[in-house]
Amino acid sequence: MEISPAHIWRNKHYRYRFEVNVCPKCGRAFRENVERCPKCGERTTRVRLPLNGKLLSWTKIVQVPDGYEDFAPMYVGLVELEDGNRVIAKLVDVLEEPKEGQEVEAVLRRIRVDGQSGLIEYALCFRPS
Amino acid sequence: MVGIAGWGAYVPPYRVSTEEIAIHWGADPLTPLSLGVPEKSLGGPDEDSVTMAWEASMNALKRAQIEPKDIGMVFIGSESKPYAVKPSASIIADALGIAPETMAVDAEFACRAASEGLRHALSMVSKGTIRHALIIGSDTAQGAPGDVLEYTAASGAAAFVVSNENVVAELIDAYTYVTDTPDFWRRDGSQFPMHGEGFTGEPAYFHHLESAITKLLERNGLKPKDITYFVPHQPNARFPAKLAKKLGFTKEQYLLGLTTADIGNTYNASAFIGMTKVLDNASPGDLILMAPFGSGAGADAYLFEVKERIEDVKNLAPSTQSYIDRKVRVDYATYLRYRNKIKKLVR
Repeated sequence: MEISPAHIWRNKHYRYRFEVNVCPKCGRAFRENVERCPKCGERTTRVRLPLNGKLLSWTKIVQVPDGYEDFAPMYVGLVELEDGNRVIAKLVDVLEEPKEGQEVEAVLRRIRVDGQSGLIEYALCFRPS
Repeated sequence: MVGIAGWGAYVPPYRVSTEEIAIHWGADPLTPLSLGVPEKSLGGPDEDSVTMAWEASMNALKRAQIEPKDIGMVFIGSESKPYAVKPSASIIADALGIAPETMAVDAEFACRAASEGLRHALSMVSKGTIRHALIIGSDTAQGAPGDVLEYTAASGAAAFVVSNENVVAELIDAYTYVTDTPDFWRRDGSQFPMHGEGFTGEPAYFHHLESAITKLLERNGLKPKDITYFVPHQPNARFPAKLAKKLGFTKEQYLLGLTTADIGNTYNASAFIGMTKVLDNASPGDLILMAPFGSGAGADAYLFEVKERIEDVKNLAPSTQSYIDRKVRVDYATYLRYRNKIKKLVR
């Protein structure tokens, strides 16, 4: 099994809803399920990031890893969200070459499929808005 | 008053020419044109009925102006579930921030499973069992390569938020008509549906819809001319036009909601997407008759009256027409790859 059930379950807050754990003291945001800030020890709070932003940089992957064959070629982008946070995510509906600075919005898509009988991994991706 | 508080559609950007499909199989290229479907929508390789349902639901929630956590039921009707066993509704409920305090249902009744959900939701909300409900019809409709279904089976989703609050279209009445009629089916484990060719028409589509619509009009003391917009299930563009003529509805009443003529038959989203386009354009006081149909077979007829609030929320999400206009043509081979009908054998 390529995609473990625990992997999907553990990451769904971020993959599905862009929820991150933020330290109220130092302001650092973590994708992972950290109950306390690894830097200053404060208890973190769950915050939902905005779904809109602009593309800072991107790359195209032609030789894709296992599980991503159906989606080749794949585009991955660095996106600055409306609140200033920066995230890396897959770019979808790329009908023409992406442009740095273009507005993007998050949409839920399949990002990986485990053969014919395994799990399907869903995540928020970005498309031109 | 119970009714629809928010509506939303989603249509993927890709289109394939149905004439090209006919030419590929050596069939008469006029056949798909006689069905009134020159091109149809298809999802990209990263789309399925869950991802399309997510976007349609986001649009419906924006217009409903209702907190996702207050939704008490997520109900999705689909013939193209990503999993045979594992609910789509729980993925959607979690991704939209509705879970965990909600009911979540995946239903199957060919193309009217979602409409069954709408009837349940209207009843449960009006009785106070739940405060709001999210009803979704979503399909990446399957048609076997070479089958006439391939000319029309398309991808799309539509969602409605049902509530007693923030209502834009109040339910006046609803009526359902169901019999065992074997017009279209897919056996467990089969990739593509089968159908009874001409049998899908008179004893199935026409008989059930005529029965449901006639009864609904009769018991409300209405004639077809009293209805502003008529939105029946639309497996192609020809059946709804013939149905409208038989019942006495005019083109002015049904053409606005006839989205199959633009994007093909989106199965569970077929009448629903037509309804979303009608709501995008409706005015307070309009009477809408929506009538989904599902093979197997059953039809629902709903009567809605449009309320004032509709004008305030139309622009809170993209219109259905904006999704219809946002399109890029792909060839038949790309269609086969995107819809998982051909697989790469070397990995």
